[in-house]
Amino acid sequence: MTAPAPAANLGAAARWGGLVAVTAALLLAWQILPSDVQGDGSSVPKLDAVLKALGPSGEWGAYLKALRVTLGEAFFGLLIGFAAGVVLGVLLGESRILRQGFYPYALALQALPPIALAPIFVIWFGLGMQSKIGLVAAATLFPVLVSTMAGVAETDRGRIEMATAFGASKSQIRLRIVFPGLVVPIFSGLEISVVLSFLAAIAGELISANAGIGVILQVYQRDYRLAEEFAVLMILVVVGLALALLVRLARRLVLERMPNE
Amino acid sequence: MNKVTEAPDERVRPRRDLEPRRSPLAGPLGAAAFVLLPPLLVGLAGVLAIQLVISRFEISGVVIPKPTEVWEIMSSDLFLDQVGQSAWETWKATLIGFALGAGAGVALGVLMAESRTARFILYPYVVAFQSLPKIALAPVCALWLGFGLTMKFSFAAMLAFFPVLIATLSALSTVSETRLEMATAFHAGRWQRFRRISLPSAVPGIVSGLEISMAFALIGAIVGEFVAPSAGGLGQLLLTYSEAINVAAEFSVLVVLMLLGVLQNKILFGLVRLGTRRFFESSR
Repeated sequence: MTAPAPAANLGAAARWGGLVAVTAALLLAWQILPSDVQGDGSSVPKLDAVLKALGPSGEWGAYLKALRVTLGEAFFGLLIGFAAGVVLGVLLGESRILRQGFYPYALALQALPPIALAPIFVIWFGLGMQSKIGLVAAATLFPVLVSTMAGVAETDRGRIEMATAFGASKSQIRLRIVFPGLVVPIFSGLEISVVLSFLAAIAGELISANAGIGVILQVYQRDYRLAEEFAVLMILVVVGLALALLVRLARRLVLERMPNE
Repeated sequence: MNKVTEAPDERVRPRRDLEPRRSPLAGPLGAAAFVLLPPLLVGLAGVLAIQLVISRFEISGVVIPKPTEVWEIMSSDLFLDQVGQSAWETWKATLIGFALGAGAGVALGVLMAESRTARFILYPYVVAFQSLPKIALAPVCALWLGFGLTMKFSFAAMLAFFPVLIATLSALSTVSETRLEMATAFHAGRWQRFRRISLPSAVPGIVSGLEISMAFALIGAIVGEFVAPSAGGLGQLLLTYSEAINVAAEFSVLVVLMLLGVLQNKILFGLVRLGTRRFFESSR
């Protein structure tokens, strides 16, 4: 791939040009198209209004407070869901009879959207953070469980047989062969669960809560403060990207530290 | 030299599958019993345990309803009437949303896989939008699209769009280069390469994306019903029961929702199996 370098460069330039042009057109449309009238039920806030709400004069106190609550719920819920998911995944992966008995229920429960479970979790754990933490734990458990279980089941049988032939004990096989092979599938489950944790926390807050992103979104909407509402959505995009990046980074660090076979 | 003909690589061994391969009991009946018995036993034991614990420790029905209560509600004519109507409302929105969202997702996935320029320009937006918890958009959607069917299926379509877009894109970009080069050497045109090589090898990936998308479409419809208070459907029914603190009825609706989720997955699988069989036969 050395010969067509100038042509490739030209292509890259054209692509960057295209990206910039499309972005500029979108931003321009965002500034020009929305009407000035706020609160007519169909309007989108103009770009400059959203930028102003994101600037130093924006309500950063309220945004950050809500974000802290939501991220806290997501974090603690994910911690519980992740731990339970790994343990149950290893159990179901190792025992065929358990897997056969419980897996259909895991699949069926997974079909329940977090928002549908929210009212019941409010009854169980109240209006505060606990009900959202419970909801996040329930939502994040399954992706981790399913990928851990698949990881256990897909462990290379040949390697286990060889280790057994060399007199390795069951716990040695687990520690040396099965568990190291689980790192990649567990991380792919975690990648899904991180996104879900944030989502489930907000879903719970939309149903009933006293603080958090879901609450201020609804407050801003009720008061037709759409510029602030969109500002919060923009912040959510950034936080979501940061969370996804964090998981990728963690995976790379863990894989680098792991001894190569 | 001999290595080539020696025993096959370890990885070729049959892997331990997630499903049981053979039943120790004989015959098709025995095989069915082997698959169905463990979950049935677990289910029965679970229901029995919950029932016993609730009556032994006198746990209030507001916390967890007795399984017998849930069953009583689920078998009453009034509930069946209500739930049938609501489930259809929800599923209608799910299907319309799935068709729109998954269709657009496959189309855009193909476009992004085939055109480097399109991929370059669209990818940043896809990533940004993907990392947004889309449930946060529900209030805004309700504001623009009203509180009816339109809002529900639009939201379902938005959730259904991404999994299949990503799956299509990644399935099409992992197509074997050698096979594509060989096709080019045999003077296959762009369309022929796509139709005969890329598409058939991408089908399994796209189907698994469709599966997730359909589950997401159902979630989207339910979210729409929760956010838009007059939208009807199972979400609305759940909210009504939750306001009346009728927990047993809430659980009944959740059971129906689970069944709907499993059922639509099975339907999708059946259709896909039918469709791919014809597709592969016609491409031969």
